[in-house]
This record gives sequence, C-alpha cells and structure tokens, in this order.
Amino acid sequence: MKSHAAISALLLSASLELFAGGARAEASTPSSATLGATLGAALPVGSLEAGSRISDTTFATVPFRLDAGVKLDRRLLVFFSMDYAFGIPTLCVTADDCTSSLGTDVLVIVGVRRAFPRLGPVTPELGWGFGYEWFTSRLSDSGVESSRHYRGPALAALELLAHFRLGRALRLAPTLRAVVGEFSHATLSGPGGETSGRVDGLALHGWLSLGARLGYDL
Amino acid sequence: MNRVWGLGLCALASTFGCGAPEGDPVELPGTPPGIGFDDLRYSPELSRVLVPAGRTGNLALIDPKTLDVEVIGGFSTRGDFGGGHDDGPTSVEYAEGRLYVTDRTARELVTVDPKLLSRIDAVALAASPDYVRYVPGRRELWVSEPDGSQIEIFALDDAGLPKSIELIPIDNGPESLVIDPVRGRAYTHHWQGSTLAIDLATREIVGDWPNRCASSRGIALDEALGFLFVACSEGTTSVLDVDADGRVLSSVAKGSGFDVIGYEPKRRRLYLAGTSCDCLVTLGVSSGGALSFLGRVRAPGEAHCAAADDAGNAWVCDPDEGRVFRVRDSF
Repeated sequence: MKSHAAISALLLSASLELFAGGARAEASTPSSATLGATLGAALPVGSLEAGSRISDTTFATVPFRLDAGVKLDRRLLVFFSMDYAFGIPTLCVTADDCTSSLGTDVLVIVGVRRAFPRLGPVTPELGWGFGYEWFTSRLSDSGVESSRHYRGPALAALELLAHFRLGRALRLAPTLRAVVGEFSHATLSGPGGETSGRVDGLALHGWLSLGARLGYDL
Repeated sequence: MNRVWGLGLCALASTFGCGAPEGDPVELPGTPPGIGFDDLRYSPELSRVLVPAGRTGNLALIDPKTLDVEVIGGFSTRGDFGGGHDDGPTSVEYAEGRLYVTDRTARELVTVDPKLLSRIDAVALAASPDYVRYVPGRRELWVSEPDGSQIEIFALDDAGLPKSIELIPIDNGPESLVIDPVRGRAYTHHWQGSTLAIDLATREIVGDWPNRCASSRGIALDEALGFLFVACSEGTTSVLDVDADGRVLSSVAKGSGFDVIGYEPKRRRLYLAGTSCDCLVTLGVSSGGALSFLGRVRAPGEAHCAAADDAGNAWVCDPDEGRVFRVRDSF
C-alpha cells in the first residue's frame, strides 16, 4: 500500500509539472478557488478481493461528491474531493429490508484538473488523482444484519468535466469519472462476531460514474 | 490489437456475469419450461445424483460418469414454471434400500423402490415439506416443514414405510436440515442469525448458535471432524465447531445468493451456487476448520443448489433451463 501511495504521489507531481507546463505559457491570472457538488450514479466493476465481486452484493451506488480546488493559474487546479455513496443492494426482499440494507462507499481523492480551451459554450476539464476508499455492503433480514467492510487505496481516478457557465461564478458540468482501486483490509461481521484482517487475495475493482456537478468559482 | 480487445471484452463479460455456464449440461425429461429445483443430492449407495425435478413430476437419477438419466415418475406435475420451487418432488433421501421423496404439491412423503423405479407408498405430511433426512440409528425420517414452523418425525416400520410419530416446533424456522448420527443431533437454522442443535433422542433443542448470517440458508456437515457449514444468502460461509458449542472457526464472503450447498468430505471441498452471483464457488476446508477460497466459475442464472459426488465433481441446478450441470472440480 505504501508503494501505491508513493507511486501515486510521484505521478501526481509529474502530472502537475506536465499540466502546468502548458498552462504557464497561456496566462497568469491570480489564483482563486472553486467549490463543487456532484450527484451521480456509479456502476461497479471488478472484485473486492479474490472470488468476491462487488456486484455480488451491490448493484450500483448513488454518490454525492463535494470538492474544493485551488487554482494555480488560469487552467490548472489542485483539488480534494470526497464522495459519500449509497450502495444499492443486490439482495433484499421487503422494502424495509432493502432500505436497511443500503451500503456505503466513501472515497477521498486528491488530484489535479486542467482546463482546456473553450469549445463553444463548453469548457472541458480533465482531472487525475488518487486517494483512499472505504466500502461497506450489508444485508438486513427482519432486523438481523450482516455486513462486509473493505478499505484500501484508490490507485487512480480519472475524470472528465464539461463546464457550462450559468453565471459569472456558477458553472454546471456533466461529469464522467473512472476510479480504479484495490482493497487491502476486510472485516466480515454478522450475528455472533466478526472476522477482520488483510483481504483474502488482492484484486482490482473500479467505479464508472456519471454525474452532474454544480460548481462555484470563488 | 484484436487480442487486447478480446481480453477487454472477456473482462467486461466476466464482470457483468455474462457468458456460458461451466460444466456438462444434463437435460431432464419434461423441459422446457424450467424446473423449480431445491434439494440436490448424491447417493453413494446408488452411485447416482438424485434430482427431485419439481413440476415435471419426476425424480431423476443421474449416473455421474455417463450422465445417463433414469426417471421415476408419478409425482405431482405442473405445466408451467414461474420461478420458485413449490411444485412436485423437491427433496429426497436414500435409506435402507429405499428412496423417500417429498412431494410439495401433494404434501406427501413418498416411498420409492429405486431398483424397480416405482412408487411403493405415500403418507400425508402435516405441512408443506422442505427437506427429508434419515436418522440411521433410530430408523426415523425427519421432514422439515417451515410453513408449519416444525419438523415432522416419521418412524420406519419393518417394511420401510414411514409413519408420522411426532412434531418438533421450531420458531422462526426450520431452514435446512442435516443429521449428525455421531453426536446424536440434528442441525437446522433459524431463518435469521442462528443455527439450532436438536437432540435426536429427546427432541430437545440443545444449542442455539449465532451463525454470522442475516439470512441463514444452506447447511452441510463433516461428521468426522465435527464441522458444521453454514451458508448465508448474503454470501457469507462459516464453519461452526459442533463439539465446542457452535464456536465459529472460520468465515469467508465469496459470491451471494446461496441456498442448497454441497460438501465432499474426502477432499474437504465445499460447493456453493449463488443466484445473485451466477457463480459456483469452491472452498477448501483445513483440518482445523479454516475455509480457503479455491475458485469461482460461472454457473447458470438462478442457480441456488449445489451438490458433490465422490468422483471430484460438483453439481449445480439450472432452474431456468430445467437441467443440471456437472462441473469438474479442477482446483
């Protein structure tokens, strides 16, 4: 996991240099910040660990994301985002049980985004980052609950935004995001106790999400 | 480049669970439409896989080597299949040279001669049956009846014909049933959260053990080692030590949607088929009771029952297509 973090940090600084190179040449406006909120839907791919696919327990998630970024110049921005997603369970029978069986996925990402020249009314922006993820799926049956918790590094997050300016500082953007991660620790709990430790065989997983972001430039 | 695209498509297909099921399909008479399978057994005495074939009104006996199918008919039939497993024969047990089959539609326990492939007798059940299991030392058949929240006990007479003698009430159950002649107990689940141990002689519940399941489903037993395997619908599988008051020895979570599970004691292999994962999961069991993941292959959609023969095969039901699959354990 440490090696993943080190590699991600190196890649982040390299991309900062790469992205900044083009941006420095274009303009040098005063740094400012941006805030955003995104609501979307995400489909899982891959596995929690060997032999255990995310789709075994979770059909999809509905993520709500808050992000904050500091502009380094007119086109380059360093951002931090946090997703809180509700997981839609694959298994459950009654409406009450399905509501009680909602899972969660919390994802924090730090990264950089680079804006590209406007294409008509749209300002495209491409982002890249890495972070950490906490995933939980649960099943509640008549009030009795069992759950699986996983956590581990989000190795790479790639996102594409298409900003439409709604006003002087307000922007609306459809977003497409892909996240690839690898859980390192698992906790399995149910009536009578829990089992916790390193995952039983590392495996990659991912989230492919579509959303709409409302952004505000400070 | 084509290879890259091919690998990508394969990865995508496996992620979303499409693709052909693994194994050799065995078509059963009376299909289509599908069959609401439930219990799936292997009889070492007959060297046959026993498949109560629901709405077709047949009990199918499959030779695991040749895949030849023999059929014992005469049970309740139904022409259409709308999912579930509420019609015709759904559970079977071999004992004392006979087969005992529950017919869910007729609500009967039917005695069958496996050599003549014919019915001998039928007795009424007190409620809709789930599983029938034989208690060797006592010459009894225990039939779980979840709709009646009870287990009905039948004594076998000299001719091997069953007669109802007692009911054991099981609150919030019973789900699944396995007999432990070594310790003189039966094990069954509450629908949620725990597994019961019942004394075969006194009929008393002597243990109520938390089993890590929100939704308890499958059960299997390694009599020699005292390991009770519990499969939850949500995909957790646990090993309970029946000699240590049901202490949980190990738990893993692979797949989901499990129901009827198969266990092969010689190789200590556990087979779990899941409706939600469309998968067959193979787990290994150590001599200390630790579960290990060995592999996972694609199973038919809605597959919720698995069994093990003694030749290194797992068997999986395919309700939608009304057939079963023999899956070679290559792990």
